[in-house]
Amino acid sequence: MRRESGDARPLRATADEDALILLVDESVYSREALLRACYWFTDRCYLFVSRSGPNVFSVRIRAKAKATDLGTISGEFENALVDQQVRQDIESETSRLRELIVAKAFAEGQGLDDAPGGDVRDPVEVAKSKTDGKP
Amino acid sequence: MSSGSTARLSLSHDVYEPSAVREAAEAYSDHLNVQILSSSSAETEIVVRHLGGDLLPEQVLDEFLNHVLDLSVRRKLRPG
Repeated sequence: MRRESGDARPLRATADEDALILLVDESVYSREALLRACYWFTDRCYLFVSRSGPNVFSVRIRAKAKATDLGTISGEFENALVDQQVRQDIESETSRLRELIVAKAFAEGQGLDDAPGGDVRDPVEVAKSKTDGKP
Repeated sequence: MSSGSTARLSLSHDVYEPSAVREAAEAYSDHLNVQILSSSSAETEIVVRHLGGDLLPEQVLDEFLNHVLDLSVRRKLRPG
């Protein structure tokens, strides 16, 4: 069985009897997204990644279990690529906001370093109430 | 790849860390002989020879490459 899709697409797949080859356009999917997607598949697939041209990675995928359908793996890998790329995009879009939130949280936490009010030896202020004339 | 035969591979440094290749070669030394032919700034070229044993040569090579990939991704994407 052999399957190929159009050349203009960011992801092209070719499959033979036991392996699937995906060509990934680096201008669409970052290298980091690709590596993360590959990492998630190493428990059930054998992967080999190489450069097949400028800005194009070739990913050879072979299922560890013989009964696994390569078409399903291809679809799941493509979804994983999209997932990782979206996570990365959101992370870069929100990193400044995240830094501000963390900075603000730490700034507010600085107050914890100050000594608490009152006397630690008399937390319920028994001695103070006596001097104030309270019961 | 059959028993006793060799496979020649180019591992791009965009994906595979040279240190990960060396570490995986050490880990698989009972099953494979991995010889580093050359290492440029862009890639490391290796020759892998199966040393025999119970596991199929193709499977050992695939397991080795997966191990190199695992180690490399962990190092490349390590924070800081």
